[in-house]
Amino acid sequence: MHDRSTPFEATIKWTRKETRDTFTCAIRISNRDIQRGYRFVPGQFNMLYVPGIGEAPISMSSSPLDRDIMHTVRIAGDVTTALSLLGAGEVIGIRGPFGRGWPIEEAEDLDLLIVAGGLGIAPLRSVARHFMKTHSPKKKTAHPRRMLLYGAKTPKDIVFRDEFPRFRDIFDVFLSVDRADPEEYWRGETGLVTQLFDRLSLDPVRTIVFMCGPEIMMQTSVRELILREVPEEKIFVSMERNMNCGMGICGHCFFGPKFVCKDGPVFRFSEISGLMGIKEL
Amino acid sequence: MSVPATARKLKKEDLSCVFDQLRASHRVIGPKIEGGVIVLADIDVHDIPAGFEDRQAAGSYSLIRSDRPEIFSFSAGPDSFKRFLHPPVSEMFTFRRSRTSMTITPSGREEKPLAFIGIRACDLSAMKLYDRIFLEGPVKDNTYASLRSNAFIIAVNCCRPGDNCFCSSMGTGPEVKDGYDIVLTELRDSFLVESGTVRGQDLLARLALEEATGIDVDEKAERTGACIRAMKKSIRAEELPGLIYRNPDHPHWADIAERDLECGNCTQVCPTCFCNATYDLVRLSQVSFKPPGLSGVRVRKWDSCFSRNFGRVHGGNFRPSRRARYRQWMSHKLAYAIEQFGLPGCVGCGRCITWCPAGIDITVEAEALKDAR
Amino acid sequence: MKRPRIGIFKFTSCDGCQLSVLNLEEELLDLVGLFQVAFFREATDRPLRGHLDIALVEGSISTGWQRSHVVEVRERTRYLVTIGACATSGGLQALRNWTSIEDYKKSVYPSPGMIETLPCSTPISDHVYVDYELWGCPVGSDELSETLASFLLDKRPGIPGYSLCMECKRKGTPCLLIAGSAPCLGPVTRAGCGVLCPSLERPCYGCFGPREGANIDALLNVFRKKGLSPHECSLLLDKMNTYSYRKARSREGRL
Repeated sequence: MHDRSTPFEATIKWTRKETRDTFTCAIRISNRDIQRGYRFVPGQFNMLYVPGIGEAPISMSSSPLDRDIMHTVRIAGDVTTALSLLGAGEVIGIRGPFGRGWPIEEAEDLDLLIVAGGLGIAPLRSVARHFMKTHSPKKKTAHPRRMLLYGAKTPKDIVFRDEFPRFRDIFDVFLSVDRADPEEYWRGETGLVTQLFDRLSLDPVRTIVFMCGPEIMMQTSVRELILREVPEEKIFVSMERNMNCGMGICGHCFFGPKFVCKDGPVFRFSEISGLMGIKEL
Repeated sequence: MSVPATARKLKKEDLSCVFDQLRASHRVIGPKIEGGVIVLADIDVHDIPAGFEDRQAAGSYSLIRSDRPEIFSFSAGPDSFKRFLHPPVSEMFTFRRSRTSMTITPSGREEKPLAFIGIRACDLSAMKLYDRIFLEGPVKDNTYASLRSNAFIIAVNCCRPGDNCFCSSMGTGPEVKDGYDIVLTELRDSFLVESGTVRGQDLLARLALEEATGIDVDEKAERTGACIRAMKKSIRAEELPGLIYRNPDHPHWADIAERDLECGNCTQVCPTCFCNATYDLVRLSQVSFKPPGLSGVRVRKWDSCFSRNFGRVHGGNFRPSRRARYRQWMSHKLAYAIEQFGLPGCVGCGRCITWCPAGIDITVEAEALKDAR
Repeated sequence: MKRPRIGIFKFTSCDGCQLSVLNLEEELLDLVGLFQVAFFREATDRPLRGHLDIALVEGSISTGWQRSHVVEVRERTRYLVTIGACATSGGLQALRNWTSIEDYKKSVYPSPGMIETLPCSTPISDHVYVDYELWGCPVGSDELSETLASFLLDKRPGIPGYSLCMECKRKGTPCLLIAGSAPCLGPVTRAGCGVLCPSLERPCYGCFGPREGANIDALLNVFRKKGLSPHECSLLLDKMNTYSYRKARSREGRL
């Protein structure tokens, strides 16, 4: 196992603008030995490092089977801004992978419901690509059924918009935007992602849910799912907190007694249901 | 009482022999008076503040000449081993970057291993927690690992409690149970010395000491027992985790926040507080335009959950209020750590009480926490 | 790449913070190499022309001319940084904000009618938008160097928002408030000075100004219990950051 407190070098292979404030960058680890030893699970994250600026925790948006490691980033602070200005051939540092990812194996034979909001789609695109690579396309089955619910602020904010047709090969896709201006010709749903639950017919005993998005969206979505008798143990949520070390030694990501960086970021909802809704935890 | 096979007797004036054994191979760290306070520093035997006692209260500390004959008649000052094993400021690596290349050079560590003299049971319990955090998690921390790996521990059993101590109610003291190479108990006219590891045993063998007797072992039990009886403070260690988990909105949190200065002193002196922040430091002289590039150093510093930026992410702060920040700290000490590491996050050393300028006393605040009826 | 243009300005102040710029010593050469110094009254007498990428502003606003000039500086500048207690907090001269300026004029000057001044001395941020504030009396050279480097790297400077106590404890300085019972303002004051005074066994007098959210009244209660009178307590705060401490007291006494 390589040392994970010191970043190693990776080269940017390409970058692509996704929306007005998000972009995807694909990187390849420079050192062959480290590259060979590097294995991640969808839902885990790397600390991306721009020397002189700092580090940012970013989950992988590619499948582990993809050749390059992709990260989809929102331009928010200094590090993500600096990353957005780098191009192919330039180098960054990375540490990782860190954290607990999605329980892909548990989802293999169950009905999988993916619920994503905003950039929360990034770690779930990793799951979607995993299923697209491991299952033959155009073979949507009645069971296990795979569904993808995605909500964005406006049509312009839909991340990976051009990839949704391919997601539809194996997923029933439901899209919704909070609001759409008339000139955007949005013909899909308008409103919160939670209202899409009425369109699904869930079989609560054989459903597993992967969810990532703003905390408030996740809380209301979980409530809807529990009303539909999906057990808390079968709902997985990816949490966000301030992260600094990524490996459980700096204390910045505490969510009550949980280290979001090493106990999460993906949690079984039953592990954290008591903590959800406590103010300023 | 039965005498442990490794128990020996060391004359008080021969304590220097232990230093002599260690000095060549170790950097010896122990208690010493500086600025009216007992701190931990590089010491020799005569630096030990023998004959001094500390008077501690909530938000106050002073040293007085003791009328007692003991060498170790003082209790914990603001420092703990953490200053040395998890340094307040440490350089992680230096970096150099140009457009298409970067070099990262991990910073060198001290060569000589550390030897701690006079470490108490509470701090050994804290060190055990540190081992769980930095060594036994999914990822090992190199900085701590390199400083910890060869550290030699000479512990001391407490025979007199500090005024703010409550280790016996936390189950972490006053008697040292494990985690030491050698442990000393100060008896009337000598030290009872016991080894806990092979290297501790080897060191004692080199000193060629006389064997301890049943009387010595009895005196040790009597002295640590007296320490427990003299301890003034206590805490409901068993009930508190439940109380804390059940009462995140207890009005007492807001009451504490009224007095709380959020200066972070408690977290800095706490031997279990480990929070830290890492960032890049680049000075003007390290930036260049022709050719474009820069160099700098990545630094790790102690941080605190009381600092406002601790829970800050882009676009918000997870703990904007003082109430939430205090609750986070106390919950972590008394409840969360047990769930996280299987060990208490508070070792009852009382440092946070003494070194709180506002005199906030964790044992008093914890007592005020009650379930709503 | 074109070197960014820097201007260094002074309003009501003692020039000490500008001297801190000159005190960067060997780094001063780096500054001159990396920036084009477009305006620096302390070093050259070239007039201000064109736009600036970064302006370092010393001193408080205490005259009508200054009030309009700082707006002009702001309009020409992409990134405005105040340096020191006067520019950031109004300075020692803000003590007059709670007295009568007319009385002062009469007691100091033979012809008070000649003196043009505003009734209050106020920080730059009361007049124009400030991108970053560097505190201290004078400003710390390390923070200055890091801020200028951060500007070049397009990142926010790492100015600490926590208390001086944190820095004191990291350094292992014995606590003057607790072991010495001294009225030290460390708990409510920003870190950044490198523990200058407490290292010399002098309690902190708050030249780095109040920390965001400082619970000043709670600290004054501690001092009261140590025997200080309310008057002595307020004297502790009425120094070069008096304006900020008073503002902070009225705003942050709450949770």
